[in-house]
Amino acid sequence: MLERGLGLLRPLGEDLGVAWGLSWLSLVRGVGGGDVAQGRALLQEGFPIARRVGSAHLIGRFLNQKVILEDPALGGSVEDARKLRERILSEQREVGDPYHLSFAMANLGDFLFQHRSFDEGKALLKESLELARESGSGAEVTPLDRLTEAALMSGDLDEAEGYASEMLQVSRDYWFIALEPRALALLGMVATRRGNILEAEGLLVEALGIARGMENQLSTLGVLVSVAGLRIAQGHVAATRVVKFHH
Amino acid sequence: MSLRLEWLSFIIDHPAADNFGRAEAQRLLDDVRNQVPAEEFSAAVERGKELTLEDVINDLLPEL
Repeated sequence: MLERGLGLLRPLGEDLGVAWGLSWLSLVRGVGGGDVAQGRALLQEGFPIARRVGSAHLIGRFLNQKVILEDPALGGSVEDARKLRERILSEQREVGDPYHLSFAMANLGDFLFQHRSFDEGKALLKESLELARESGSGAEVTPLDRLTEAALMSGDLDEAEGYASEMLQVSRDYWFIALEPRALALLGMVATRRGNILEAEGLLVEALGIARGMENQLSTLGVLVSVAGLRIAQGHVAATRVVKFHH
Repeated sequence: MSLRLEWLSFIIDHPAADNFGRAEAQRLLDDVRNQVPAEEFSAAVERGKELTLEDVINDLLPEL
């Protein structure tokens, strides 16, 4: 479908449409176990068109996609991965699209946080959150997700609840249905740690119900750890074979 | 329904699990290590590595 659309747009000289199509196609082809090299090639074709059209939003989108598609070529080098994110953030600051700038900040902030530069990472995530709130674009969800994790890791349950509640609200406001189970699972984790077992149970049943209705079963994975935490808090632990195995 | 220790080793071993989920699963696994006999614990951890996401979802169905 995307390729067909691109085929129709190219002869018409519809650069904006072509650039959008190439942006989507590069993700469809290059992400989720696809052909990363092909995804990168499509991105390299589309990026100059976005520059020519001059759409800050589209340029910002391509820049953030570069992180996704260039990362696998870095061979797992943490230093190179950090430099890539810093370079993209620097370019995003020049482009100035708030949505994608916020996303690039969150991306670097998350990376720093995951690699134990907690203070630096958290500061960048908060900066990202403020910008996203100002732009009202729904980009808040990424920094909110990571800031909730950070608060949970440091044991600040009030802060974690605040971030996760806002994440849930933004997910609902912007119809980010895939993120609702995640936000509910984080709230369930907070409730479990507070010992509010009934509240946690309700949140996690809701999270599982939404996740189950989605095609992307990985949403369930994000809820699973919260369910496990709740069962431990209830003292319900078993090490028994209860499921079918595929051999 | 009880927690299945298999779930935790499944999460830790799953390529799509994020760092936070993996760390949280490891923390929970460490918490319950002494609540079940060592042999059962090890066996459950090994079984978890063989699970598929579909297995786990089927396991979770009674939760709904």
